[in-house]
Amino acid sequence: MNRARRGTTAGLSRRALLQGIGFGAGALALSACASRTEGSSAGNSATQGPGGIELARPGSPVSLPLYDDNQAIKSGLNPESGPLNVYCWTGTIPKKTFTSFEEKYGVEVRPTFYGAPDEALPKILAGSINFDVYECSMEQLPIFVANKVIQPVNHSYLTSYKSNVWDSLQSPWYDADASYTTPGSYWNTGIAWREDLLPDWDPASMDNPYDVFWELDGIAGKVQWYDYVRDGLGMMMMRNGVSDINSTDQADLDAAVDAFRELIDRTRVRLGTDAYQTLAQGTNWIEQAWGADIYFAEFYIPKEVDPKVLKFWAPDEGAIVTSDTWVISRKAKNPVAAHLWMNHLLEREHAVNMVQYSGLITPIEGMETENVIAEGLMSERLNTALPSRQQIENGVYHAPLSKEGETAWQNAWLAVKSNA
Amino acid sequence: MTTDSKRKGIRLPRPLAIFVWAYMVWNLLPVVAAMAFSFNATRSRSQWQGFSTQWWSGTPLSLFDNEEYTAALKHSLELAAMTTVISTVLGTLLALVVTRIRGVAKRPVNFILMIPIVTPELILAVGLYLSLTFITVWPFSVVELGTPAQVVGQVTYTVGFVVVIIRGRIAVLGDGLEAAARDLGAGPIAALVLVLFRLLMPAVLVGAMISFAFSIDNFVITQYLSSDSSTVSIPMYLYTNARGGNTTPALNALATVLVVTTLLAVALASLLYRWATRRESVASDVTGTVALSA
Amino acid sequence: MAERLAGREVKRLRSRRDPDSAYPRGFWHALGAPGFAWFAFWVLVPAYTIVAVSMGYVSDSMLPVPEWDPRYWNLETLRMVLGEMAPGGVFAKVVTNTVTYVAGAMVLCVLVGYPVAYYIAKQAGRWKVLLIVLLTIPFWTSYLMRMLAWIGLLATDGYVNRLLMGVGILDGPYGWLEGQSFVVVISLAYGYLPYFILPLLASLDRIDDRLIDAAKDLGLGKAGAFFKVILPLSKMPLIAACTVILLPMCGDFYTTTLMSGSPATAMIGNQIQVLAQGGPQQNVGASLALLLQLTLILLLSFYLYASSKSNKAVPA
Repeated sequence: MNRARRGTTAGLSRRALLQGIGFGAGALALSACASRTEGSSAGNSATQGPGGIELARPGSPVSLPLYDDNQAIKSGLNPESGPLNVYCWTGTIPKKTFTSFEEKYGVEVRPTFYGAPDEALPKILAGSINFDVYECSMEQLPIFVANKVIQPVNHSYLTSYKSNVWDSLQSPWYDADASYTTPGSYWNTGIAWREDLLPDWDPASMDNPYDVFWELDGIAGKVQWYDYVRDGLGMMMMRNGVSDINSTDQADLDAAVDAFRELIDRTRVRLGTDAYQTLAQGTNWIEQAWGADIYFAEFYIPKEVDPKVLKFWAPDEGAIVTSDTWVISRKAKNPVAAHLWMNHLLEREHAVNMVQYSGLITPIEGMETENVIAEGLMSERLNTALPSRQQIENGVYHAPLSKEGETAWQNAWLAVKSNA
Repeated sequence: MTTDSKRKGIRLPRPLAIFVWAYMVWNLLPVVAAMAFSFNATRSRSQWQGFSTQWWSGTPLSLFDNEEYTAALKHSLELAAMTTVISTVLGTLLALVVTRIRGVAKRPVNFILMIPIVTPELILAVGLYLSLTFITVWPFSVVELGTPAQVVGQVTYTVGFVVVIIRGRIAVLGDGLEAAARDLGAGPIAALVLVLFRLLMPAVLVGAMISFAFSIDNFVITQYLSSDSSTVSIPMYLYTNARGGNTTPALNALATVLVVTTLLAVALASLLYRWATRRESVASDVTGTVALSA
Repeated sequence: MAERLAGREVKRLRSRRDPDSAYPRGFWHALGAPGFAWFAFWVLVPAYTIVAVSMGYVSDSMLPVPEWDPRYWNLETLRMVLGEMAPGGVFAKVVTNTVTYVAGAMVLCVLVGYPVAYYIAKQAGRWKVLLIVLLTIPFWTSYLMRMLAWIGLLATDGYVNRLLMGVGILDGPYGWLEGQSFVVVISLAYGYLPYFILPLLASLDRIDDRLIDAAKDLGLGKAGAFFKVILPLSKMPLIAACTVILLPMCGDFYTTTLMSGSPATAMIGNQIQVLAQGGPQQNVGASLALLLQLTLILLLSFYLYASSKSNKAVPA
């Protein structure tokens, strides 16, 4: 690569030339690109992500770098008048949570929703979304930190963090000391199926239940997988016996693509994000899904079908668990209110609303799946659909990738989507 | 005349007529059926189970009572209103100017005006999206993704068609009337306003209606330049929910509104055109329709 | 005829004076400025941006950086994308799908659309106006609505399956919407036929009936007149109508997503749509868009060349 050259001499002479001929647009774009690349530094590119930030893994936590020109707000400020712009995943935050925040703090909340984190990322980086606080996937964190898109948090506003949040998350692996984030919600990824349509299948009968998509006959056209690169390829790796779902080993990725190719040939698998609806309608019989999907599906299932037929499986050990975080925009107009919002989400009231609204677990004491079911907040039959404590503690997580790794993953996913 | 007076050309066997009518049925029946399903008594969009208006209004999930639908309806109408005004004004001015351009500029100008018409919408959308996200100077910096970008995209897509329609009208009129008005003592600009704009009015109205219809129906550009769920238009909503999604017959009701609005706009356009040009005999039905379509 | 004459009468009022001389200097430029600025900003610059992003690179922070200066254009991505289109490459299947689906849909359009257009133009008699109105309705009906309509009918419990099972053609419900290539092709044809038929109809309508009568008088039979007179005269209109639908079809991604959703039926539009929206492969998306656009420009110039040649050969 000739990146080094581009950054220095060529860049300078080009800029001089462009300014010389008064090509304003080009010059501005160039200065923009200069500022975009300045976060880069020499280092081991395989273990480092954007901006030279080490790649966090559950076993090896990472402190996200703090910058002098990007400081947290001062303590003891009064909340702004709002409205607070909340940018979150569509269908996750219950309406009750918005209204209770408005009542409590007198700050109007204006939510905007994204359909998937992949869709939100470029819009945020391009600056085309105005938000105060954002529901952020943890693999995106280093990108936002390195590009100084988000600001550190001031824990003096986050009183519920220390008192309510699980001990294991007081200093999370993806953001040691929680300098930029507060935890969002937890869910598990596995296999959802309709027991009435596939009466003979039982995951307990298989050594590797992930193999079901390749083993079961008569499911062609009735299969769906997530149209998300990390979920899709990650579970494919699990099926292939690769326990590190953040592997950037080309052989692992190639094997995952091969497995997908076989699956496409065998079942013409559909890629989508509406697993709960297609399962409820019976257009699909078996799918890669999130546990919460079978809870969602209950709202869409025809009256004559018993919701009990919606089944979900994920392994107790080494399940794919996903969680997200909340972060504050560096350009937030309401940073204090944003802190209060994050604090609000770590209170029991929201956690109860959340699990009942979207089937997601908020990581605060007393809201573990076991308790939620024991207290009757959720039906017993959703036991497998909510991430258990064991799954959360011993699960595998999507984590940030290096630039080369990210490119390899994107290429692999492109190959899947192109059926190559 | 040796041929049958009613049928021109070569008589092909009867099956052709059957084929044509079969095509019409194939073409139209599904749409009619989909509209009918908006009146279904149950949640199903594929099995008819009795008549009801519950998906239109009166229940929380119905078209006029559910915020998701009303927001999409409102957003689509907003976009269409802005697009119609801007592209009609720009299109009219451009059409007037383009017919006057002589010399070297003529070919490149005509070429540029044709670009949006002969480019797949997806590529127009990608180009606009990339320039809005990568360029940080005016005017790109002030047009945010969402409503402003969607209007810019829709106008860019429609204005070429408006120019084509109005140019066609100018070509029919020629510049004689304007000159005649000047000869009678009107100043050049007064002549332009008095004569040309009055005579161009029918075409301008048609252009406006066509922009409206294009905007309401537009999917690719509108989707690509949207920012979040507050800038979802009706076609975008249909696309996201057609296969899984919010699959009640209210979706069919939403689609029905879309279809009826567009058809009304186009019908109005063609009626207005006929009324305004009633003293001239213009081209036949076919060319008229195609002028609308081209 | 009368109509044409009426038009000519108006035209004859054309004066010999140069119409522009009467206006103040720069009047027309001022009038046209907003429109031209609009096209410059929102058509030309975006086109250039696609090129710049395609020729750019990806920064260490995984952000695509466009290259605005042609002297530093990086052709690597474009070359890579082209290479991946070759057999065995990532885009090979997508390109094959696009070409076969578009070609298949186009053949269907010709097979269905031409007879329909011909019948309405020349033989419909008193039904002509009604038929044209019936053709105009789908033309102005949202494309997505027309797909939505078929999704309802083709659903597992939809009326198509029930009809076919009712008459005994199918034993059980068929999964039409489950990644079937032929369903995508038929859907494309269904979707684009209205845009194909109307322009074709207009051109066929203009074929002079006297030519046909003359052919018959010369002793050519029905079939002979059709093949020797009408078909050759239909050639350019057919090519024109094909061009009208070729352009949007090549950028189509929604039809296959709605009617299948499986990677097995992905078209090039799907890849452009996903890749160009963001992420570290935006330059790949831009390169695909650029290549598609260049291909279409090539095809379009061929069409323009052919039509200008045929215009010279047969004075209209």
